[in-house]
Amino acid sequence: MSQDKQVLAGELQRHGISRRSFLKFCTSMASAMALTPAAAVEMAQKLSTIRRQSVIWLSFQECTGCTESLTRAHKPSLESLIFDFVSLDYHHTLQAASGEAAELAREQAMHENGGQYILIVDGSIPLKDGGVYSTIAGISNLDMLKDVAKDAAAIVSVGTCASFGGLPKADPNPTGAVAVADIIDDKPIINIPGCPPMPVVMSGVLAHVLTFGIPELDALGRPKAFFGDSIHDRCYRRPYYDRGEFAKSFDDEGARKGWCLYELGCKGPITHNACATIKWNNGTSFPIQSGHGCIGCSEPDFWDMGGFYKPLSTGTSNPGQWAGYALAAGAAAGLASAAVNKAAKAKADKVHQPVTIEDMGKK
Amino acid sequence: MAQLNGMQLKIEVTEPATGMAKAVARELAEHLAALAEHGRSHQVDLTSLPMSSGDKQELASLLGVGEVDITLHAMGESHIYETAFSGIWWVKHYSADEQLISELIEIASIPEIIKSPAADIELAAQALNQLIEQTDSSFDTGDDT
Repeated sequence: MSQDKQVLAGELQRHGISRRSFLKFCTSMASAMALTPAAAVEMAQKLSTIRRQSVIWLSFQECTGCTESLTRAHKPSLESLIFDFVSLDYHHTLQAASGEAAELAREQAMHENGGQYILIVDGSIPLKDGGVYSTIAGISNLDMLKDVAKDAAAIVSVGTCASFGGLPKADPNPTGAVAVADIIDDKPIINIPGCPPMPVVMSGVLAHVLTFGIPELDALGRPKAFFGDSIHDRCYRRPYYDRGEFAKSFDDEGARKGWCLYELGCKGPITHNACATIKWNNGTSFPIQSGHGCIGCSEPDFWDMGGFYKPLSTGTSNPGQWAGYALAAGAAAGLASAAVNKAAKAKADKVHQPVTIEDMGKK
Repeated sequence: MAQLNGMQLKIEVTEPATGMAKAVARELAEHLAALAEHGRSHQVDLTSLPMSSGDKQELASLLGVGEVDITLHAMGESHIYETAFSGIWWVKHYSADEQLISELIEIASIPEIIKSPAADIELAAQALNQLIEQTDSSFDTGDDT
């Protein structure tokens, strides 16, 4: 434990991580976070002088996909370097201890770093029937969250479940699942949604929290650096949208030519995430590049958006919320989207089942 | 991933140029002038710019290749070269599994990451003295270990 308290730079160098590796890590983090390039140098300096930050990671109603995303690299990647900057004191899946020893580690970390530790949560919290649907060591998720959040410096909600309720909250929400921010209202909360979130987004945000504090957030509590643009804004297929060239089915000529997937249900215009620029699997590709529309996984209630293959123009089952997003996306696009939408809708109405106002009101 | 690469499943297609190269070149010219006049260095992050592979090729051929070519070995390689325009460096950082993780153009007399960090120099000076003392003492005692 005592070596954990030492300044990071020395410790990392003993592990063979040079200052240049350090700067390289910070350069990629700063780039991913759209920080000024000078910030990389500053970030490296700060990271080398801080002490290891205690992190408690609570996993509630989740599938471990978020942890998988962050740790999936089988070789030490720059993203996984973030684990050298933190002391991960409690994490079900990753810690060696189990049972009472594991819970003891959590209590010890809370006691030793009261008011200082960062709480990371993945998974939603069930409230129905006294929260019996998910417990850890006999403690309901609700009680554990409240207990650990009390002395946390900040909370990071990782994944769409912790950020917005996610899959467990999907209609009819049998467990009464809610997001972290629905329960905790007296702590800074950063939402990093995505199903799962991008690894670099998680490590980037953590690096930012360690060096510069809480990053700038949007109205939904998401770091603007990664969630500031819609997938549509940064999509390489955007020129086809602008020209009105749409794939009409997954095997037509348009699909083969890589045209816009808007009419096949792509949720890119209303989805804010960094997939189109950072891409997945070490920058290999992202859903649209693989020929499938965006499903909007980093947005609230994405599972209940009326179907992955229904065009946005046919409406979603949550009209109040999505109308606002769609409007914003249209405004940001700065083009006569109304005209495009009209054409798209006319076509969509023929191909797909029409959605009426009454339908949209149904839950 | 290595196995997949071995099977040559990744197909690289050069996307057409969109005219971005010229826009970036203009920005670089501005920053290069600032470096010349005020010694102000700058970095342009290519990773976050919506540039097609064709745009990057166009920019690379526009800038050409200068006299210096550096390979850095730090958590994967980094390839850095000075373009034909003094003070404009093309920097590519790769991860340990050879994936490009960031690409930038640095406008500076020398890229920041190449400079030996002051703290490291201090430690190195101590380490070298220690080594000399050790070798001295091993000579003195005739100890050949």
